[in-house]
Amino acid sequence: MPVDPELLEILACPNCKTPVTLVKNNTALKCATCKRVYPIKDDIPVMLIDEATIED
Amino acid sequence: MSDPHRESILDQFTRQAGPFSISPGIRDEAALAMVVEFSGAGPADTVLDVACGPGILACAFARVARHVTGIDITPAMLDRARALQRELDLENITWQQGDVTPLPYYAAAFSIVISRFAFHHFLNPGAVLREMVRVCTPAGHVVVVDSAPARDKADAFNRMEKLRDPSHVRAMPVEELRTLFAAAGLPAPRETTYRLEGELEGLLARSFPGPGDADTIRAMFVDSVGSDALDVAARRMSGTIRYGYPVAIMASRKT
Repeated sequence: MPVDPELLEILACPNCKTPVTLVKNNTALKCATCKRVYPIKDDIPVMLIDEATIED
Repeated sequence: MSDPHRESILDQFTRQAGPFSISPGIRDEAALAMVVEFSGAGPADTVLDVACGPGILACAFARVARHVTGIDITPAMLDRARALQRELDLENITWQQGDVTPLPYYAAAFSIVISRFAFHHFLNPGAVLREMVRVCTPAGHVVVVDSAPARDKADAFNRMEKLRDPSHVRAMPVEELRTLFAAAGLPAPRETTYRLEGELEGLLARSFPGPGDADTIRAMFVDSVGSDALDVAARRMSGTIRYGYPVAIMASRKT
């Protein structure tokens, strides 16, 4: 199931409170500010700062 | 959340995910309806359920609200939540795994922000409430539902609960919850209370106390029959011990 577009209107990076966008063929969410990438596991975004990777 | 506390929460709630999701007290339809009604939820509302556990309250809100979001830190609980959503054939819910401070949402993203039976697990409940206020729209509702023992019995209640669930931090009396609301910049909350009824052995079967602690808890309940030292309305009935945990629902409209 794809991530609900409406979800992207409310979901923010927990670190920066700035927008996250779908990346990696819709399998992760990336913050443009801190470059953290939050995985989407079994369709559920994992919005944990310490489980995110930082990717330029 | 500090790491040892997070580990304790994950350990307890991964084990509790199954039993908790079928607990009669947690699935109590009348109590769920009361919480939804007290929150004033309607078809225009977008709801956030903070520390949603197995999603029972989120699903109850989804029947009346436009959309519900549930967030929890324990994957096993979210698995249960999603299974319940499928069972009830509800489409207007999304789930996220995450911590409660900070919440991964924009300011003013939801018109109702609620948390049920979770505040007693938070090391810093004031910080969580402030986050709930941040993500709530102006004129939206911030609602906390939790065990709320009487002030003079809170220490005994919390000692017992910490034995029953090592991830328990502290259930607050209503007076402290009011102070927490005020400190978060919320107007004085509307309040109501009820008793979450159950039977002791069933409760212990759904709990994961440390070795030997179940007997200590049984003794505490027996001692509380008559004196009500724990504020759980413990009484003997047909060879069992029944209880009624004190629960408060507190709702405030963000100004």
